[in-house]
Amino acid sequence: MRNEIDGRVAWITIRPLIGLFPIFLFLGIFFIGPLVFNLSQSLHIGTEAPAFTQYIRILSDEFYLSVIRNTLLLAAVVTVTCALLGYPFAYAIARARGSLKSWLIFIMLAPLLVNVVIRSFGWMVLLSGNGVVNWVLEGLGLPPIALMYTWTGIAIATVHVFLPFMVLAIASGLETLDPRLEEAALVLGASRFSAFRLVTFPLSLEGLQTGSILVFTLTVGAFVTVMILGSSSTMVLPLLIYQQLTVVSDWPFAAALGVVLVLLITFILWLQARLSRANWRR
Amino acid sequence: MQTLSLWLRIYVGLLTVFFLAPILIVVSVAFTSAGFVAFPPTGFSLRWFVKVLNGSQFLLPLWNSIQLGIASTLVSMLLAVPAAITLVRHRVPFGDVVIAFLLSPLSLPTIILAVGLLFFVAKVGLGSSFAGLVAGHAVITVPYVLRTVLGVYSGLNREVEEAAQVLGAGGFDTFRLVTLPLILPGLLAGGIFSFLLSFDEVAVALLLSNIDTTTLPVAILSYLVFNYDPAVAAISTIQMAVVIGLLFLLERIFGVQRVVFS
Amino acid sequence: MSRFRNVIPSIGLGVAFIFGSGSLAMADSKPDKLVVAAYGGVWEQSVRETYAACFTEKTGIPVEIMTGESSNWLNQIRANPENPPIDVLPLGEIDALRAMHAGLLSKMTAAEVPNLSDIPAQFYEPWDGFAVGDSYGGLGIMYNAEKIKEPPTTWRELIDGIAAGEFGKVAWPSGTYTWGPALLWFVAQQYDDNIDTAFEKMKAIKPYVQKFWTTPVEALNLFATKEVDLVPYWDGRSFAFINEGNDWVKFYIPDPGAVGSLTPFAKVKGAPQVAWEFINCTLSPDAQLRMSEILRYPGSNPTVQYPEDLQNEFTPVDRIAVPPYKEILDKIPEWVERWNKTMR
Repeated sequence: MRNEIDGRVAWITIRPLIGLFPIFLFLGIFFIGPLVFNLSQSLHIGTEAPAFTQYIRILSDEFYLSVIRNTLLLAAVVTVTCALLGYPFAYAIARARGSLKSWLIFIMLAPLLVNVVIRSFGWMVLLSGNGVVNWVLEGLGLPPIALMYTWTGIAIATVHVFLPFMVLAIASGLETLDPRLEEAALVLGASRFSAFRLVTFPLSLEGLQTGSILVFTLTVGAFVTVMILGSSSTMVLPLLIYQQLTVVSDWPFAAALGVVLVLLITFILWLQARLSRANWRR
Repeated sequence: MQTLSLWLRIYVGLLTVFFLAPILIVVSVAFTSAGFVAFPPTGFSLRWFVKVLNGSQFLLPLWNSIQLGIASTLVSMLLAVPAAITLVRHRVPFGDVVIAFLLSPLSLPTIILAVGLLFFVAKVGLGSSFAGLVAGHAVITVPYVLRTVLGVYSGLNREVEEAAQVLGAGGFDTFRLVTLPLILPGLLAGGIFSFLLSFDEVAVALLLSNIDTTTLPVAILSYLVFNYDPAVAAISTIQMAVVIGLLFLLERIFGVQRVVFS
Repeated sequence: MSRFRNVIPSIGLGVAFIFGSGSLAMADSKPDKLVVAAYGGVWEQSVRETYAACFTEKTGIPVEIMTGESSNWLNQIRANPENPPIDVLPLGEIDALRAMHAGLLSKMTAAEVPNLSDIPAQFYEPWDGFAVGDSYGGLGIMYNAEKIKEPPTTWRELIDGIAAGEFGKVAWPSGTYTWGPALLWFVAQQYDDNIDTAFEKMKAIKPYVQKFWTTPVEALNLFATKEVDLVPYWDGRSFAFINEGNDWVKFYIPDPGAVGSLTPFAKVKGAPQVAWEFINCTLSPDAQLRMSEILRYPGSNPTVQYPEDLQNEFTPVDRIAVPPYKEILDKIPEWVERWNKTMR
């Protein structure tokens, strides 16, 4: 009798949560599975090699630490640039009406319509020695700039790739803002700038934060753009992983680099969660 | 009320140039008559379009990419919608942790997922197959759909659903006739993003595709490694036209503003 | 009724799995197609018109060509040993050794591949008979003859000249290019087999290297747009470019020779028996002659008769230096790491 009741109580508690089962099962298999595989590969599980050699190798070598640092630095620069460039555009979208609004949204989405490989290819045509940028500079009588194979060129192209994500996140946040709040501030005597600074901007922070986290983690994982536009002087972690998988065929090392990358991102996300009070349930 | 100030308009104009420049370059290169990629294009010709449309080396991957995008988006929707509904309606233990976990694939670099997936999927028996690719892409895209649906659903006034049930509608009918239309903007927004992401994805497709399932980005990358000619520009222009066509269709049916801002 | 809510996801997953399981059909004794890997572009065209055509003619089975890169193919057959997605593939020399050691390839005998008996041992000995080269090429120097009137006669002079800025900007193969380690070995050979000197020399030329390229198309693009005037490049590809009407371009091999590449074709273990017929086709004189005409590389079958103008483009075998792959295989991780660190 007791077991029956326990069983029914358990079932009543679990039953509403059935909707979560499929996604948990799916992610458990296809997301956690590969991660566990990576982890076991990196720790040499199943072989005789000592477990932590790959990690010691990464963390004790100045070169690999510099690659990690450069990866994070690139992500930070791209994120900040996207936030600065994207905010005004998002503001414009939120304030626009009618067909202008639709056009702006389309322009924002436009980069996403073209394959990332092709986008990088397009930047190659723009930034190369004989490319468009230098062609324009030459026409203006200015000296050419070397942007190909440099961090600057990569950053520009990466900003282009991820700017839509930032703009969309901020615009979504601004869209839900009641414009009457800003109007009220203006009525009460605030200047346009103060109204923006004290009313609109703080309320848009959540969208800005979402966009920043997204762009940061996407940049940390980006490798196609760096592969096409970069050189031996611009090494980032995902590209190093790809190199170790292909040219060197060192799976444990590549897996360990991958685990380090995931841990870095998790740490940063945890930091962000600590600093904010984001909550999906209103 | 004045919609956009002059400075803002100027700024938007400049940024538009930035957004569109590489794309316009690619499209213009596609029409060049030269055998080489150079800008500005020399002469006007459709020969690269002809070349690309004649062989199946790009068209089949384009079709594969479309199928893969639709399949992984559908799977993502089927997984995310029940989850989102459950999370909003019921008190889930450790709800915040659960949501963080379900959204965590967003932060996983695809190259790492691809590496693990390559071997893992083989062990599970899916090998280098379409199902394996769908699984891989769905992992990447399901957080986007979940996030947008959660956003819409949690903002809804669910009295409408309760009213429907009081009036005698069963669970499924309530979902189909009341809930689904209400979350549709969020579902579509997440779905569009999911499709575009899958369409664009390189790492997982590179490692997991076989001869029948090569996707467009992989085909283009393989081609680019050995040929630097305008053919890739031509197929990209075609691909863009296809995607724009699809988006235009959705805009007609649902209205893009409503869709993008759930 | 909330029960139905969960039926849909299950059906969805089921559909997705059924969708894909069609391609899980095992290759049995008479497969409906043969999957062959090939490098993209003109290589793919060559394989299609020569070996694939020969195979389909003999067996009636169509060939599907998968383009990409050697390392990717290796990873795919490594991950799917039971059901390999590729039947025949031309791995890079190092990857072929790796595949061999991992037990992924089948050993060939003259019984299964009759043409093998015509092929000199140097084309399959490096892989103990698990792979055989259908052609070979040499990495020489392609240069702008209008700008560079008298290129240096030896590799040593060339490298030192580049480091001194005599040739302006050049493009040099990266140490992480598939044949990067082989070139590093070759450069070391020029300096008394000293790998340290080789790395020093690479560092010395770095200021004049526009890009250390990892794919040949990068090199060609930089050269064709005249961003660089000199590039180490494969003989076959160089002549293909020259023959397009670019008479401002010349190609030559500095002394003592060129580091060579064979293209070892191998049959994957688990591929159908009929795949041997494909390998046989890669070694047949008719197919090799046709391949040479397209790619401008000499075939490995010595019985092939080439027209004179084609013959003149070939690098003589005695000027080809093949690296001892088995010895450098273990050094590669160290060399790549050293390259990453030295050249950043």
